[in-house]
Amino acid sequence: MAITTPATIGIATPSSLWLPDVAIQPLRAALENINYLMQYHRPPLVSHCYTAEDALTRPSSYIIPVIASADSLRYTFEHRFTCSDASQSVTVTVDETATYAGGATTWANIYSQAVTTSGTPGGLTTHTKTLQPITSTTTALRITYTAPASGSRNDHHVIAYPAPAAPSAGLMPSGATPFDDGLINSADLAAVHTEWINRCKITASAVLRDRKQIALSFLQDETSQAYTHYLNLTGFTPLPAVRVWLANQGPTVILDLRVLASVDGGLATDLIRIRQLGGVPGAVSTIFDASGSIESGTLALVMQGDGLMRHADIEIAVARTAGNRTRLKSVSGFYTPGQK
Amino acid sequence: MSSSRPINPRNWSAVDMTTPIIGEATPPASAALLIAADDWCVSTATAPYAGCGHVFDGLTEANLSRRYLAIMVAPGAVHARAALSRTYQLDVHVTWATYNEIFSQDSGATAAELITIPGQKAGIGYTPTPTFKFGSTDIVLSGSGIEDSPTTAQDRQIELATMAAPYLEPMYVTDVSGFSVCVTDQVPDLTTL
Repeated sequence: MAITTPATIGIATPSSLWLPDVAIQPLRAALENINYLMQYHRPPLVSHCYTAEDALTRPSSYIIPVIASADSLRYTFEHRFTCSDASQSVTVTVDETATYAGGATTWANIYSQAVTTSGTPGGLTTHTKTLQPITSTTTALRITYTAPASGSRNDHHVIAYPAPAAPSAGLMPSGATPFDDGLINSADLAAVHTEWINRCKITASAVLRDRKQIALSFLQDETSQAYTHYLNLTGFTPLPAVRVWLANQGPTVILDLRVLASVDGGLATDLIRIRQLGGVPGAVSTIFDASGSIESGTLALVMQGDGLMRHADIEIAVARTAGNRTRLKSVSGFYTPGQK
Repeated sequence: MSSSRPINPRNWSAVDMTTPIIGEATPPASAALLIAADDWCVSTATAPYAGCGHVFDGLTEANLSRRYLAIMVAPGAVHARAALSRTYQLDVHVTWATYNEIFSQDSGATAAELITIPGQKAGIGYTPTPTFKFGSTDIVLSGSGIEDSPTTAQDRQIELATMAAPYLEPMYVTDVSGFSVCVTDQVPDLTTL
């Protein structure tokens, strides 16, 4: 018996599906694609471009709200940053927490590693760290970069995508179940039964819905945000709108939003607005508090365009009370296929 | 019966995600059941991932104007287009770069790998503004034309590495305050992967 996981998706020809021999194929290949999905379905959970000051000579710490997989999957992290001086040592640290509470947060370390930056002054450093588990109860990640010994650092992007181990036997918390070929290969040629047929859909659906797909992102330094309101107004100040692509989906799609913002003083209620733009009938706004905690909400998108280019344009806006500042630290918008 | 197999585009919003394919304990053998089971796995694998809208400041300082990032590409993708968010503020005459640029690892010939997107910046009187500043915003798409072996930098679709497994595509984009990427076409026959 073996749980075989192909490294690429197995494609059966239509004729083999219409006229199957009395044999273990093509059903076995379809079932092994379950194992493929469990190991290789890789929508990013994190894909955030940093907004930070130019030429940082200090450490930076970024908080990213997440909705973790129920299966406590391993992830690959890939960081991109530059340093003005060549071959600097920058320590990259990733932590997780189940409950974000500002400075009182209890962080659990996922990994910490010293990275030697590009040998070219100003050159791109790409740091990849594989096989790092994110606990299922995690609601936020903290990314920290130390200052280079000389020169400065500019932070560009971080991405984290599922990279789980090959599946092992048993039902996963997400509802996914791998396929073991023992029965289908047995000398007794066990009958094809409905559970095998159904397992293809149930597991594919479970993997799809469990691995949240980052669809909207914004990220600033946790404690030293460079950017706040440009003008002394108390109304909503919009950030530039951005297009979110959700191929073939609609007519409406729900995004799960997580927002982290705080105020220097005054009331913290109703200061962050996220809405769909474009004068789309039925488009709505969702308002969040700048409470210093991670706020949750949803945004229903009325999808525009056709086919692969289905999209929605989204705007994040920040307001403040008179004489105070509102500091937007992070926004994560997650797409769950099939969520209604 | 054709031997080619196109991708079945799924609208997950319109399908029942939880009900089993078959509820009978001993249904008659049916090719339709086998096709349905196989298609759930293949269409899940080949569905493009969400094209994440990244909001960031890529305009304030020269060192931030080129933004490095990477996107994850699902199996079967062939080309992509990008949506660029650009902001401007009416200002005194300012000369700025003529184009936004996109570089991707797998796009185009080595000698002309840059994708250049002309924009308002070619004119004068507008200054790009960073996030958190008032100004006009537009979202423009990179080119729709397909030219995978260009001899000069031009506005065209982003060529992807068409594979049977997901892969990470490193990119950079210049002078924008928002960025997202959309897969625009997929392999016509999955059996060629």
